[in-house]
Amino acid sequence: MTSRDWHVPAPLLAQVLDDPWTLDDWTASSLEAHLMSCAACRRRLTAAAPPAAAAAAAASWAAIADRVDQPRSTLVEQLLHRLGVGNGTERLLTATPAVRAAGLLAVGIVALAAIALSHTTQAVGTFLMLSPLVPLAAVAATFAPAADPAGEAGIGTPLHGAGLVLRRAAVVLGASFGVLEAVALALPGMGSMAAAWVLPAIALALGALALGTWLRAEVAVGVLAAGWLLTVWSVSWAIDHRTPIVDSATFSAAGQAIALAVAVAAAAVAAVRRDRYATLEAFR
Amino acid sequence: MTDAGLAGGAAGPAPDRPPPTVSVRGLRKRFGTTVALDGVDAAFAPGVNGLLGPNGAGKTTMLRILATVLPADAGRLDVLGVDPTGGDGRLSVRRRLGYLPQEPGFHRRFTAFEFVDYVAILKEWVDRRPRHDEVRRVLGLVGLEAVMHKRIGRLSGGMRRRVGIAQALLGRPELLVLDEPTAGLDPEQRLRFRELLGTEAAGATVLLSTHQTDDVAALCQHVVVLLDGRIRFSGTPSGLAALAADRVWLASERDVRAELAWVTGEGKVRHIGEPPVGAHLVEPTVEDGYLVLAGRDTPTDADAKALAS
Repeated sequence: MTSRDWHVPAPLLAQVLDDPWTLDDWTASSLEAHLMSCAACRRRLTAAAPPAAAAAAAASWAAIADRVDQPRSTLVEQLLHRLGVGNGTERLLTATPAVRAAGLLAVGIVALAAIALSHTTQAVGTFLMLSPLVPLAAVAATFAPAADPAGEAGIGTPLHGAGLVLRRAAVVLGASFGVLEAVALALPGMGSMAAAWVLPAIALALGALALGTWLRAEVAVGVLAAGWLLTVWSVSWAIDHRTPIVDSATFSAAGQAIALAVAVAAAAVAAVRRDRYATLEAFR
Repeated sequence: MTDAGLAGGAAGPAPDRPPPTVSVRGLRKRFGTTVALDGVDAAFAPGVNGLLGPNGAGKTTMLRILATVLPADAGRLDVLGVDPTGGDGRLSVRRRLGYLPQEPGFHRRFTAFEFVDYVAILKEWVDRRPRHDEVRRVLGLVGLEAVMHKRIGRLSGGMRRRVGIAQALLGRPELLVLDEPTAGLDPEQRLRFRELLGTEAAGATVLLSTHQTDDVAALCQHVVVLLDGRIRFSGTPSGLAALAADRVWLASERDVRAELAWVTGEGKVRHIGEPPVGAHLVEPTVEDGYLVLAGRDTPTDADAKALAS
């Protein structure tokens, strides 16, 4: 009955329209299954029906098909939808395998780090040094080669470009900052330093967006991560004469001011060179 | 340069064709030390325009530039009346473009429906109901209605190609850029694709690259041959075939003086060049013209079987 070569015979079609209640259960269910998969028979049914009934049937079918075809929403999509992000944008922001993988990885790393750090004497300093790397990796994943599920076909579309990368970056930054701050507040001895990692993290994330206009995502992350770790280590050990990381100049008011300046400069560079995100070259 | 001829400069469409909607002048693109496009001049009018050339000739690079996914190093572009190198021009072109890349890079966990729906969102189809109607329509056009809820990773190569074609057809674009659309399609699917272009792309400007010279002969009103980043021919398919006029012979034995010679499926030897002894002249095809132009090495017997099929 559902064979692709079989179609509903005309007398049976007439019976469906004129007196559907006379069909036995087996025939009715077989017809229903066939009509679900056969556009030609659906068209014949619609054409044979009286105009009003045909319009109603077409509308009804369209509504059913629309409901059946609606792609499943993820939890994050549903959350974004409730926050007012709609019209498909929530799907654009979240249907990104690389971003999802980076998000899960970041949450996993942070959770493991929190468990490990809570038993060490350098917990706060180590957290401050490592936590900015999480948003950095997450943001870089928004323009990694595998970032967009539509691949190259998606690049030739109107919504592709720096705007989409920025919106995705905002989503992953929001998520990673939330998790990191929760961990920071849960760590013993964090006190007033609970937000000291935020500005460096923003500077690194924006730095990735700026550097990503020249380099591949993973190279940009590598350069910035190495630069950041080297900076923290050298300030703490070489300049501040082996001061513990938490007390070093990196996380002082001056260090925060420098991070802010770097963030502003990186944002300016990314804005000036945003056209690079409109083409394939930033996604190689 | 006239429409049917060897290219040394810009090629305009034939007088009876509509004015060009896509044109490039002095187009250059380099990847490191490799020159992909070396000062290309070309013009394409509404209808189906084919790009022929061997691998590495610059076809994909040219299509990517025209589809706004790759910037050119130099040259002037006019696509659908705008310069697509700036932000506004690029957006204007993308709103009227359907693009099938050579390797679409499908996310295999998406179903066919989810993938095309995702691209439709990227193409600013905001309202869900009309978007879903359009997604069903284009998947129906390529004959994938029955499998549209299957994951792409479980579809055959030909079906995946059809998913790619479906997303390019979203919204009946004015400009269709198709990079090897028939690669991976079986003969019946290729015929259906030709039929589909005839109906769905009527009035649109279609640019397609292919290795299938019979696709060019069957589909294209205009053909451009790219070799080593330069246009070597621009004109009609019959004009390309005519390059081999009075030079294609069928004989019973291979002649060493032939520029190109191969054994056909019927066991005859098809020669291009000077007439072998006892040979008779045959009508040249687009493939003959292309081979004359490309100056390929003599095909092997394996090539000949593939060519004959």
